[in-house]
Amino acid sequence: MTRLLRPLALAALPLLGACDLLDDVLSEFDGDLETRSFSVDSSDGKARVDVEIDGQETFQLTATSGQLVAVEAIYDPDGELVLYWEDWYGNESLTGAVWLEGRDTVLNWPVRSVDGELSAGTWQVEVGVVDNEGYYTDATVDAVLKLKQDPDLSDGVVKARIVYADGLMQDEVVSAGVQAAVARWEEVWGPYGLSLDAGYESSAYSTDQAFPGESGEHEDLAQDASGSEVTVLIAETIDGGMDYYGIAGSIPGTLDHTGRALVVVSWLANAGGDGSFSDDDVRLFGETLAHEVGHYMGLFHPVEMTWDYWDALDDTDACQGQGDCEGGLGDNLMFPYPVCDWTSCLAQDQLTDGQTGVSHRYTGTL
Amino acid sequence: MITSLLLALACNGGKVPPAQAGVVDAGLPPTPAELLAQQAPGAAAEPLAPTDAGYAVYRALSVRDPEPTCAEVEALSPTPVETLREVVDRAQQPPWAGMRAANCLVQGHGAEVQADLVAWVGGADTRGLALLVLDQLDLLPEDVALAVATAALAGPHAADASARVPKSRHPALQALVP
Repeated sequence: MTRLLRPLALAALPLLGACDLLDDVLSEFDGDLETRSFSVDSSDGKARVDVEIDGQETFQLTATSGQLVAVEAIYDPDGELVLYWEDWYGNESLTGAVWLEGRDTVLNWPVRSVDGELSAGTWQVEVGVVDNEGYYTDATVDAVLKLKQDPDLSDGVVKARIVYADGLMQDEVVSAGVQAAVARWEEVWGPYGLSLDAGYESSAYSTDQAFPGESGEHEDLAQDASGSEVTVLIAETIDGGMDYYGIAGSIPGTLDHTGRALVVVSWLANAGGDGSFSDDDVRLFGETLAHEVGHYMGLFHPVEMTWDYWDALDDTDACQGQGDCEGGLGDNLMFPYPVCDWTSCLAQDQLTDGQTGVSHRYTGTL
Repeated sequence: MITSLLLALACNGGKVPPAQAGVVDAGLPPTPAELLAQQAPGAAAEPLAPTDAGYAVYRALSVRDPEPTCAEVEALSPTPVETLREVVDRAQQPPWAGMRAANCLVQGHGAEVQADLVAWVGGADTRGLALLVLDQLDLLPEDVALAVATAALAGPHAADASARVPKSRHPALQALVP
């Protein structure tokens, strides 16, 4: 439960000055995507990461440390606070970056249109550094910034690297099912200006996969990804069974090479008891791929199944109760479950303008 | 993502969602079958009339995320093994509902459902269930695992079994594949 810790008691520690940059910034360009890598030392438990903006539309920060890290605040070039973690720690979710999940955190900014555009100047992201007991501590934070230059936030391409675990690419049932599901995924995204550029690879990775970030294989896998690809690992089982059939590394997911830089999907859970893909299975599998990668691009469920937690978007119904939510949001791609009646399920292929905007603001959507 | 969700659920800040303007219909919400019928009139197949417990378990197992635990699911039925069997045998969509039900049977009731497991690994149209069992042989009592593996190696999924049985930690099972 250490992940639930929040150092509220120490939040009043005095803030010190500007960030301590340890290394020179390494900068690389790949088309519309710039990558800057550098390290920052925290002071009094906060690492301050400067983000120089000059015409870019969005940025993604992946901060990694030997301690637990989470984004605490974002300041614009005028010093105005534009995000504070506590505002998004209740029952509306904007970004997983504010949650103390582990030794890395991922922030994509801006998330929504109402978050405004990136004005030119120096933005600052404050990253809290916390020990396992929940207290602020000091450590070096490695920062990888990805900055998107592409000005078109209504038409974008997502590169998906689909990697089959050991032997699965050679299984014709699996490979045909995955390719058909990817076609459905493209069909779901198309009306929203989202195109998919999918490539396929075989691998020797285990067919039983751990959660993202909980296997050394995931770090190895991430090393081979390009800077703008989302990796989808096709496994047979996740965590040794059928409890999980698709899981994203984080919300949003990183474009850096960390162990959580992937979505893991179980082909077997999506094929069902007969081990083959019917037309209905393919449709649902494609929607599952689009749903899980949607998480990776920053989308939350519009409502959680307790019916009292929602995403931060104004145009996804703040429904309350199962019937109300199934009626209002049951066809939404990000609804937490498919609405089914034993024999068939409602198509879930709808995105609101707000959800579409989040998807296009994902820094990997180019 | 799962931990993110748990964090979100654990940290309720007490905010209240905005009231829905203009909602005047106080009637019952549409059922899944009604929603499906609206989507494709005439296309929805007749449901197979699940038992109440079967439907409750099926609903719990249909969730995308967060995933339910077997203990949570089984608490929904006074006869969990029978109910899980019902979901395996009769629920057609989503595909993971039946697979998760089968998973709970394998992980918690292996000895009791040995005949089912042997049938799954021997059925030509149950390759998915066969793989589920073969991937988890070591969760079964050894004598059950041995019976299941032996049947699998003699059945239509022998190739799948030959690749998985030797991975068992039990020497008796490893010895089945020279």
